[in-house]
Amino acid sequence: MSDQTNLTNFSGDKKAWPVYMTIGNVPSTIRNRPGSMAILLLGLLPIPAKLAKSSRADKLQRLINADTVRGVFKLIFAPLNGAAREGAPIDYADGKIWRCFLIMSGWIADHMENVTLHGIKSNACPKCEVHPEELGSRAGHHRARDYARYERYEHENPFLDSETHDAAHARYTNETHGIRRGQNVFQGLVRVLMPDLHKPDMLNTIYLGLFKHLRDWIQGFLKKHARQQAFDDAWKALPTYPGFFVPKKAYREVTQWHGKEMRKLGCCLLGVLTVALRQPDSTQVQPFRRALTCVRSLLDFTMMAQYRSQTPETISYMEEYATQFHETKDIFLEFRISKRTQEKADELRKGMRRQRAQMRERVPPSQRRRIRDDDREEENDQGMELIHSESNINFVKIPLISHFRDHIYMFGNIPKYSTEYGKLAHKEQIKDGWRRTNEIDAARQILSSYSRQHAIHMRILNLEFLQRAGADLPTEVVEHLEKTRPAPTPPAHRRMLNGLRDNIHDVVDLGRACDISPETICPELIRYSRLSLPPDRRLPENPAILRTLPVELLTQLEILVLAYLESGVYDIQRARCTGAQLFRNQTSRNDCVWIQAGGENMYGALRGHVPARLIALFKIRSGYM
Amino acid sequence: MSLVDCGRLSDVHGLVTVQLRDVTRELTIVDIGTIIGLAHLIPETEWRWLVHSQIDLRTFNDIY
Repeated sequence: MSDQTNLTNFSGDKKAWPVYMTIGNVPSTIRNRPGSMAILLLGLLPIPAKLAKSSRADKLQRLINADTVRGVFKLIFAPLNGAAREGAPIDYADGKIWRCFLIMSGWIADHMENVTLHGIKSNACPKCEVHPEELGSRAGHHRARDYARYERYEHENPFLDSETHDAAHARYTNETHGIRRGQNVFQGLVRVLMPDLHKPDMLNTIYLGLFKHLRDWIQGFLKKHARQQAFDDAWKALPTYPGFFVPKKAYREVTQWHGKEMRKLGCCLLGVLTVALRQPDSTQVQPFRRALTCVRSLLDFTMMAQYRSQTPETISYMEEYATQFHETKDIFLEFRISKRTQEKADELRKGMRRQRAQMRERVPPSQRRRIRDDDREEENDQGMELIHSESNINFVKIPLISHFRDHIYMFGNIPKYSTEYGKLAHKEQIKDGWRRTNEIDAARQILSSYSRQHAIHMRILNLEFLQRAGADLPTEVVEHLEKTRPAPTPPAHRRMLNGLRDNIHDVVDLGRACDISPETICPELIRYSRLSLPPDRRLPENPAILRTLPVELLTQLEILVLAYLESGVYDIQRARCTGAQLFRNQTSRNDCVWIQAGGENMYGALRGHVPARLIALFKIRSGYM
Repeated sequence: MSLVDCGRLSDVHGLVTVQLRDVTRELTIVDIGTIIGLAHLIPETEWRWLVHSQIDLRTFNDIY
């Protein structure tokens, strides 16, 4: 994997272009875990200077840069070719030496990186030969890229400027398939299927690709229908949730949208948009319905794509959502209008007004308003017609999502190939190393710094493995391992109440703290006691005695929830319930929780679960509850 | 809270809507063992919420 990253901002704008390597035999849960040492820094590539697009000298320099990058990759891949063709002897953990064939099976990178390395144009898909003008369509599957054919053309027609038929054909192929001749760094690799090197990536394709566009479309849509304020209000009223940070700013005030913000947007966009678009007038019903369907299908597709375990059923759902997105995305077409189309639409409007001014006779005042409205409607209709004929939703991230299905069938789930793990590696392997350098010949210092760290960590991992296997290790090594080992996690409780509140002694105090009268609490306590408690532990049913029962009021409930599609991994969710009291000097907090209230066939889609707001968390002491 | 439309998913936005109960009992006491996790409800009005199923993969998978 490779990914350019900034080392400094506003002080020289230093960059690094690291190349990492990992092996597919390691399970993805271990490989992608920080500290597992499974991602190895292979080298730092030279970063060419940015060049302007127009100048001929710059064009030449760009070709020289591409040749340099290709040369560097040739050096990096040289040992791999021999190992892929004839195999290489490798020491295994079982003590034997195995002959292994090291074959490159994937290259994890963002789109622009793939463009550079695969030698294609920025509006071309690295996997298929979709035409640039059909990027937004869903007209079946396009032919997979045949990089071997491109290479053959390149060898057969070294001079594209010649007038031969073959040269013309090669020129046409390059143009229609978006190929940059001689810039593919993967050319010549043994046993490598080049179209399969590209891996779909949630971060760059969905969050920083499609969501970025979707955000702009929604802004335009809300503005058109005067719903921006409603959206902002719903956005700011979002409640808290584990892993979801409540937005502090209004939606329109957020200026920096990075991966984290985009993920947050994806989490809550549908709910917020639904609230913002409620109560439409008669003209808004259809567009609102279509916009919500489009957003919903894209978000559902995103959720499905995050599954770490896929079945044919989930894949068919994904396909269905993708189709629905393509069918409804034209609702946002008018917000992808180019400057030229906007100018044409303005010109058309002006022309219509001029024409009317020349033709119009004097109109009685009673008809003026009706005629003005008709004219405006006609202008809008013609403008929209022009916009729809001239605009399109064509960008390269759209065909990339159509490859998700094939990728899952061939290589497994999507998240395990995420570029996010490369970004995590940047911090540990590049940025920390950069801070330790004196900034002179920094690349060498970064590489040697991480090599040392890697060697020590690998040694520790090996020693830990030997200790677990019962090997006889020296005492000082065992002591060191004990020191460096992380503290054991505390024993897991399924539910735990915390945050005891003072000055609450009995049911009357409880009612006062929660702003509920004892007349309401007592009958409910009796009902609960009768239905849920064993006969020997039931509460007294005399209200006078009930009111004096000793009570503890608490403010936090820790719930242990099994992590989704994991075994033995738990998330702790903390439900807060402060009653009328302030939480951290802000408003009171009474979270909503799921209650298991029945079997799976109850409560429709909620399947036996009912949401409820916590009013109080309390215990009745002295052996009653 | 009570379910709107018997807990069916909306055709348009695909979310379940809940609202404050209009029955006489304003509170219900339950055992903490029946609480299975946090819910994310987006306020629609003061007495009506959308059950947000896209907040995490578990909720998304559970509600359909």
